[in-house]
Amino acid sequence: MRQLPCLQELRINGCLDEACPEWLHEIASLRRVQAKYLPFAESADVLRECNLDAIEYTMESGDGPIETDGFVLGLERLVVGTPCGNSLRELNIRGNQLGSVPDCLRSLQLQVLCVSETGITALPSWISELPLIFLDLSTNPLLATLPASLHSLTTLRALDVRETNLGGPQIDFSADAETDTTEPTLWIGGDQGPYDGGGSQNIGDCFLEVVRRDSILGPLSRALPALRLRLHEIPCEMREGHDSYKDSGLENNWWHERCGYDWIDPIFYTCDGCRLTSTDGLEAARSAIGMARRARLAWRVVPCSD
Amino acid sequence: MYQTVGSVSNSFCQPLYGNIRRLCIDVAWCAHIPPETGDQFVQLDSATLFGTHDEKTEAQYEEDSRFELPTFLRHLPKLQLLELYKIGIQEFPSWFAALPLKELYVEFACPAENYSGEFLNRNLLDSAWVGDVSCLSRSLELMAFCDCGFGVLDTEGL
Repeated sequence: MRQLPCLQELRINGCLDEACPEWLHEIASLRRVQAKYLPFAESADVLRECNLDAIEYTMESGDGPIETDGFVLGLERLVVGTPCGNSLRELNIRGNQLGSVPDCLRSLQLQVLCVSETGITALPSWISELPLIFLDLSTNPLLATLPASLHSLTTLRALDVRETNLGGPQIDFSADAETDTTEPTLWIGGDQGPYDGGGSQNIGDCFLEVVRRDSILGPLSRALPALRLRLHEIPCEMREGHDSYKDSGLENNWWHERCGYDWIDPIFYTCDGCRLTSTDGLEAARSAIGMARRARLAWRVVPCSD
Repeated sequence: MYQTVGSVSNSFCQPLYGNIRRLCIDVAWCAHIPPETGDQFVQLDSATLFGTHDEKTEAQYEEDSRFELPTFLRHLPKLQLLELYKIGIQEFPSWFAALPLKELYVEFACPAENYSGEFLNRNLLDSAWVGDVSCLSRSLELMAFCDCGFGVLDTEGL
């Protein structure tokens, strides 16, 4: 393989017991590496010498992030002061337990960063120093806020916050089976999160949370008009169980404030074969959002006094 | 009469096959495809050959080891992407390196659960072509090896 003069991309997913082969840096044309389930710390020492544009080093258990020995230290060795760190533009470390976004990424020129399912609870304010175009924060159920500095990240075009405490409603099919109703529910993390045996709540039972998210999403979208937000997870029951889903284009419905819809609207999470049977909670949530928006607006407008 | 039918058949097949860009072929069919068939697929740029079992017994691995890539592949002038899905190919033919491939995807089969330890011929679990530096097309830009759940790649040989 090292004698292939045009090789630009190598994907080694679950096929190696050991780290990446040491001679990988000999492939001068190599720009992208995708690896799953490889020992990271050892692989980092190999990859750091490569002039890579993109690295995908992911774990996908489906049960939450996986703790990898020496992952953050390995990441530092990979990118700090190395040829790889200088050239790297895309990094996907989905599924690795981090807790927080590693500081060593701060000095990079990343345009794409995926820290999905990494257990992060907050974003550092320095995230806006990166020239990011796409940021994937999905499946981090303890993530409930975004730093104010994100409003100045004008390069950002796409933000994925599905299955975080910033995401939009979805249909909960497990509740559907029990109650024979189809209502929108909101993914709630924290102690009620999916990894703790919790899950989602009917949107009509969590107005405060709906209003809180609206107070974060709206201003962000106004500050970054070119930004598109992916907020709504489509449950596998809908993806696999409804033919109309395939033609619905739901995956393409990313939200922004001027799109003509609220982020809680069913257009983002229902299709012809799967409609809501009750919208009471949704309408109540919409009213709560409207009141909060008007209150915020009134708070900003200083009335003239005679 | 035969020539007439033949010419009608050709004039029918060329526009039909000549516009096909992608083929997926069950491995069981490969032995029945005449080599010259490839000449009719002048626009074909992507081919997938797929095996029938995700998990294989030693006998199935042995059967795979006798599998030969169909020679019609070498007659496809625009073939750039080849997927080999769950086929335990041991060696590529000598003409394989001359294919104009840019992308090669290989998904290995798994030994049947609780069975791998009982393989008498464990060489069957390793694909010999992985260690043959000369068998791959030098035009390759992407190589992808996919989950097998069992250590298959010998990196010394890569």
